[in-house]
Amino acid sequence: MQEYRFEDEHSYLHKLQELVDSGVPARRIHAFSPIPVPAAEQILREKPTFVRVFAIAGALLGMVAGFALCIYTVLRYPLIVGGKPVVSILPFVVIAFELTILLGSLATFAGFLLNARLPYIPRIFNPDEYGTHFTILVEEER
Amino acid sequence: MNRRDFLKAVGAATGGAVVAGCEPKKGTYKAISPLFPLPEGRIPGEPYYIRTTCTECPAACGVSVRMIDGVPLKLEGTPGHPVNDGSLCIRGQAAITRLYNPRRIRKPMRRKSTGAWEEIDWDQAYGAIIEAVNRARQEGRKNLYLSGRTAGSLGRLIDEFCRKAGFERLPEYEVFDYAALRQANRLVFGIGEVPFYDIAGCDFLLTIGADVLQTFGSPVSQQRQIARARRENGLTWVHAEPHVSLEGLQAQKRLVVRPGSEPHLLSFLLAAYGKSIPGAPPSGAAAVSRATGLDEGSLLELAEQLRKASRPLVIAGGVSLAGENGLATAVLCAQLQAAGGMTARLDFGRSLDMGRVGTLKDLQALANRLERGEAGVLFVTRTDPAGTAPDTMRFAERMEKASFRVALADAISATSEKCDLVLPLSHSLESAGDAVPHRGLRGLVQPVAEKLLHDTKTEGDILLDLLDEMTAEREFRSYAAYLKEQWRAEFGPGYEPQFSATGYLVRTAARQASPAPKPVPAQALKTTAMPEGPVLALVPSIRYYDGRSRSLKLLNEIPDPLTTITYGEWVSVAQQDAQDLKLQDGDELELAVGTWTRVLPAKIQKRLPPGVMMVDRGVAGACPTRVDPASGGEVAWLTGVRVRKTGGAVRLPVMSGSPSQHGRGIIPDPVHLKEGGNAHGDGHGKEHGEGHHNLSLYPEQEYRDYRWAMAIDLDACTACGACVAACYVENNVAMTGRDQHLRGREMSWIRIEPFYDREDGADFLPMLCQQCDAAPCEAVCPVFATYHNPEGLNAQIYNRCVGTRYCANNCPYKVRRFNWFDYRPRRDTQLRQPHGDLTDSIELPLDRVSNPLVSLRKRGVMEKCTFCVQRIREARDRAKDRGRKIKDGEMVPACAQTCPSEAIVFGNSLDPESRVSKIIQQGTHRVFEELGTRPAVHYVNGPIPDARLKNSDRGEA
Amino acid sequence: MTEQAVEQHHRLERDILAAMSRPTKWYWVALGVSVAAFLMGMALWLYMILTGMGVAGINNPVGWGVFIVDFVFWVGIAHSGTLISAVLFLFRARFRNRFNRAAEAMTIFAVMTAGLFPLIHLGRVWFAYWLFPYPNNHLIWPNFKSPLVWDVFAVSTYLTVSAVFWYVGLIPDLAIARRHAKNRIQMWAYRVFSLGWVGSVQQWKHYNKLYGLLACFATPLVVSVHSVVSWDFAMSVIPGWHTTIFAPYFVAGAILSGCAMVITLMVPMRKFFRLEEIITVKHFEGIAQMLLLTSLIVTYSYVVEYAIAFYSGNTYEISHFVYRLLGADEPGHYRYAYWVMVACNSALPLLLFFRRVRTSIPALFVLSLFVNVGMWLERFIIIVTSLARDFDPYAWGLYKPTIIEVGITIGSFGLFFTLFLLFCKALPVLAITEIKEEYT
Repeated sequence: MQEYRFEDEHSYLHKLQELVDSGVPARRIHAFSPIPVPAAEQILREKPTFVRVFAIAGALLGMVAGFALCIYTVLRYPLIVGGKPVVSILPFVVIAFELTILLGSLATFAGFLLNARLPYIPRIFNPDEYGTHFTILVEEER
Repeated sequence: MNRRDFLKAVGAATGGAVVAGCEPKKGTYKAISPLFPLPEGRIPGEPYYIRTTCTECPAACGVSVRMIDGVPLKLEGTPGHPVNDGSLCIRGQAAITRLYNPRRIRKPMRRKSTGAWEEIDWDQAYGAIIEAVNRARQEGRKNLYLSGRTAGSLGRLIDEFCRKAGFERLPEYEVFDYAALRQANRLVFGIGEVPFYDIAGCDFLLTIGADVLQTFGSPVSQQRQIARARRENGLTWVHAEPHVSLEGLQAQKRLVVRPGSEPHLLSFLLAAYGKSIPGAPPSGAAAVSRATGLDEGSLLELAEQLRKASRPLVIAGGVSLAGENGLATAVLCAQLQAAGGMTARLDFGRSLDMGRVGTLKDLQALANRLERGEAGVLFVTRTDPAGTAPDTMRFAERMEKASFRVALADAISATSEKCDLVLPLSHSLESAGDAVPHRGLRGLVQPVAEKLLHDTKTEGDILLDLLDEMTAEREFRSYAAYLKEQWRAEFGPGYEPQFSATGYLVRTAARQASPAPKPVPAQALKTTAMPEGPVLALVPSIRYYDGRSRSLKLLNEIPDPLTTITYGEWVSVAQQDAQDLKLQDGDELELAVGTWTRVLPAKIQKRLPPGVMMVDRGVAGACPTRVDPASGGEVAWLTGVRVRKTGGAVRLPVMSGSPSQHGRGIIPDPVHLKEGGNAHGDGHGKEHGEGHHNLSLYPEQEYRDYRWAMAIDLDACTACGACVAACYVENNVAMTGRDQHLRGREMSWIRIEPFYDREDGADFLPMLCQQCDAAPCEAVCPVFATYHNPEGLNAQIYNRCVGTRYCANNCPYKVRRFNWFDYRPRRDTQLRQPHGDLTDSIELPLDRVSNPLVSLRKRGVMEKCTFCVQRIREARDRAKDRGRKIKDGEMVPACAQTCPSEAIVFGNSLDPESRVSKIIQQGTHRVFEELGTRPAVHYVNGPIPDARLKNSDRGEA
Repeated sequence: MTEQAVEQHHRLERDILAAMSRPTKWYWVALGVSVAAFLMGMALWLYMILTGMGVAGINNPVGWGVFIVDFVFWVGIAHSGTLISAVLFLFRARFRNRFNRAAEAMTIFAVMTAGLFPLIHLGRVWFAYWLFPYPNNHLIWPNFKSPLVWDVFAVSTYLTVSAVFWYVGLIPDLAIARRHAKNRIQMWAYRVFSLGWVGSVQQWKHYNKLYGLLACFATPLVVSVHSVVSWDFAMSVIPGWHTTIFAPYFVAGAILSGCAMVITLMVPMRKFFRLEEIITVKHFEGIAQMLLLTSLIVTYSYVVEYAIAFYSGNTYEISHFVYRLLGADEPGHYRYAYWVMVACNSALPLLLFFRRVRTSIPALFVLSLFVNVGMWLERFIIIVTSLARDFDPYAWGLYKPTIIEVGITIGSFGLFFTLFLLFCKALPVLAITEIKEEYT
């Protein structure tokens, strides 16, 4: 296991590029940075994230749930108020909207945790710290 | 959290645990048995009615007491009763609260040497009296018996008692003794009585100062008659008055005359009939106009109307007969009645029985005798001379010159304060007795309530007991037995069934037409001009009568119809005078007459003529009234009043937020749309709404059997407030007290809104929940605590309410009421007093006035009118048992039930035959219709078709 | 990337985390006062629960008073937080990095405070749970047609989403904090809450997407929440409430008050924690410009309200707005409140057109205080005067807050500042990572 530490982003990216070019497969390279470095993703040819799928699924679920909740409950116990029909969609839109946002964002967060494999218990107990350094770990050939 | 709360919490917790722990075994439940055995075939918990008679005022209306399991819940007029036919006035409705009045005396009380009261038992009381009587006999003093107006058998018993026990019975004392009127009728017709006025039969009515809607004669009867005459004979009602009163604002035309100038007006009218009475004031139009302040035009018009009318009637009374010129006014009025052929509508055969009622002159005589120290034992029953007689009479202190003073009363008054012994009287709902509404009619008074809290007796029983103690012979077991004897003697043996069924017996006296008028001695006609300077009128009060009802909390809780003030005292001041004195509402005025001074907060009263101030007679108490030498009656006009601003001010609990409609067309009348739009737009509100109110995105709601609706005839409504009182009693509406009223927290479900927008006069609008089809309050409740029920009612589910108050905010009519505190605590618990004095809202045992069919509302929930849904339920059950639908008029809410002028029509608007839908078809006005709320309460400004509303809601259909 | 950039990163970590160092005497004083105020508020509330709503000044017709005013006020405060972090994030407005952490904290605490008031104003708070949809033995559910139920959903959603957003932003900084932890408790707390974040390329990839998406969710939410709150009033029939401009009007007002509160909080914080060279005048100017913009929108709404009222020709509307402006003859009306409000929200912010004012921290601080007052008054006027004079002149009335309501209001400030002070010592008060990004 080799470790490369850099003070700055440029040499870090440069080293990454170098490793990839020298034919080290991306799965053996582990790169860490104190701040997001999108360029690193391209170098390592990372697949696009699935988090957005969770977002859409959650949002849709929320909307459906919202309408379902309102309509189901008023039909279970139909009471007339203010001369309005028992099922009046307009006011229910508000509920549906809020649930869309709520489930949408919760699902997105859940999706993030799953994809990013967090929380990662072993690291909670002994986190390997890279401080403000940009770090690259390269696994040995097995 | 203080200690008590902590203990409560702990107790509740443990108690709950225990209860949860043990489950009830089968068959351990017991049915709660009624207080006393029910008549055959009566189902426990089902309301029934017992006939009796109201004793709040001499009118003695027939009352049906609504009972459940032997507990009286509410008083309602007896249907078909010759006086009030189903209706009751505001005081009649409130009478049941007198039964549980916290100020009632519970036991006989004796004045200790220290001056403090001590409770004793009856035998001691009797002992003390007998001892005193004997002592007086030895000292050769006279034993005197002074009572309030007494009619029927009791009068006879008192005579018997006085004869046997050696008492002298004095003329009875009443504040409203009709002295001038009786005197005049004696002089003119030879009958010194207050006749029955057949208003229903006339087409033109001129009332001069007579408060025919409030206290004069038989108010409920007169109000019913006026309403009927309006519907059936198109009555024109003109009211002439020197001040401002409900009558003036209700009559079609109001004439404001100078105080004391009534004789001039009358002699003018007499002249119109070509009669001139020697000694009467000049009758020339110009002179009369100068004297009365009326312009000649309206004088001539009045005379014209009077002469044109086929069945006119003129009635003088109230404040117009309580002045220096009272007798002259009364005499001339009688002359006019004779001259105008109105005697056909004066029935002396049915006259108000004031038989033994004396005048202030007699009281003066008594005062003098007391001064001379002639008096030994002095009985004062059912009257409060010390609290009402002229202060110059110094009655209170003179009373003390009597060797022993006994008061028979239900509460401590100025008089009983001065007594050595006070004997508590039973409430009429606890007593056997009879009453005489008018000659030839006997009303039954029978006990309906157990004496739960009070060790009281009826006057009859007390006298019988005393006779028993004094003269060892005892004829009658009880006063009830005595009464039965009397009735049998009078009406023959077979009287009982009818008496108990109807509550009254008629002894058909031949209609006594009033004989030809006699010439009148001139001194009866002498008039004196009222001196310059401000005058103070002591006016009869619809709420307090002569003051006897002031101690009733309910009547304080309901606003005065003119000022909408609830609690406390005030003096009404004309706008003009207020400007001169730079007065705001509530600024304190010091009124002084001679040595007498009184500080009262001022209330600016619109329509009150300048120079005149008004105070409720009941509020004024003992003040510099004078004995009118001519009639012997009371001069209730204080002249030469010195008025001074003290600089102090108090907040008056005025319920009305504004005396004007601000051109909002709340009450339909083109006048208002033009008027009162000061900076508040002019009636656009209405025009804006025209045509809009039927537009709706949503389909109309479908109703199956019933859609309850109400129509209110604003012409018939007299703003008497009987409906408000009825609602309070029927629906357990909390009385919140002065402090809460000042914070704008009254609880009334129905209120009467006065609007002073017309040039002269005012309009009154009864406002209650409008049961809107598209109710703004319903949709906004987050928990469905209020919703639209299948019969169109805007139902309120108290147990579901969480108290967001959104519904009340969103109600355009502001008829929803929130329970800011526990206004009705569980018995014998005390309400915390967080702010000011709340205790006056929960005086026990007032909480016993409660209708078990209506749930009591706890702190934190919203409440409102639901057309007396409990009565609807009752009627529906009854109809279901008979396998039919509810008949029209079979069920009416409490407000409609009691309305003396039958202004409120209630029914099912789905049934095209119901009276209410007939009225609706005619086209009606609905308040704030332009908001699209589609209310179910319709207001009509005009006579209601097929006149009489059958209030057959008696649980006996 | 240069040497001093690296130096910058170290300085940043040091300076910002320095704020979490051992509290000073003044901190304890501030905390003490806040906690005391909060406890007093709670005590008064308990007293009100045991006695009855009557101890407040509300009555017929004014059924809503200071409690609802406070609710709307705090919800308004809550707005700028998510706005600054989410909306400005999407607009790539750089100055937001200096404020977003604290602003989001402010948001969350403000929502929590606001959330108390609907409970406080309930007549029977012990049944408050009836407002939530849950299967129950009454077989009855909340009335989803009622704006109050919308409120329940909007506010709780807003609280949840803001909290998630805030936490997500915190994760990398917590990872930094765990390196600087001073004792075991701190260390373990940060370790657990940083979820074992190491900043690998994959983590950053998902993280950036997540942060973007959350911003996208939060943006419409910000707009919706205060719109829903405004509908509590706009959905009614009461003149002064029933108007279509309420949603945008309230949102603008909310942002205005929010920005003001951000300034009110950040100016002293910057001073006490010596963050002057991290948060510079330039950044405050950014906020100041937003303040000016929203103030102009709010002023416009004030005008439009009157325009609508008079254009409609509706008696009730016209008379009501005349009343708002001029009050009535009798004493105890609200016209002065109205004029103070206009001065605070419309007149004073115009000074921000002058660069000298925009760039003077003390001036901004004072101005922000005025705006806070003005916005509170705005809600008071909208809620109270509208109810005091609606349709039926007979039912007109006046409302005067009682000492109880004042006390509970003070208590709410106590709660808010308590939470904020705790936040200052427990978490990085600025978004270290995001600021670092600027120094590259």
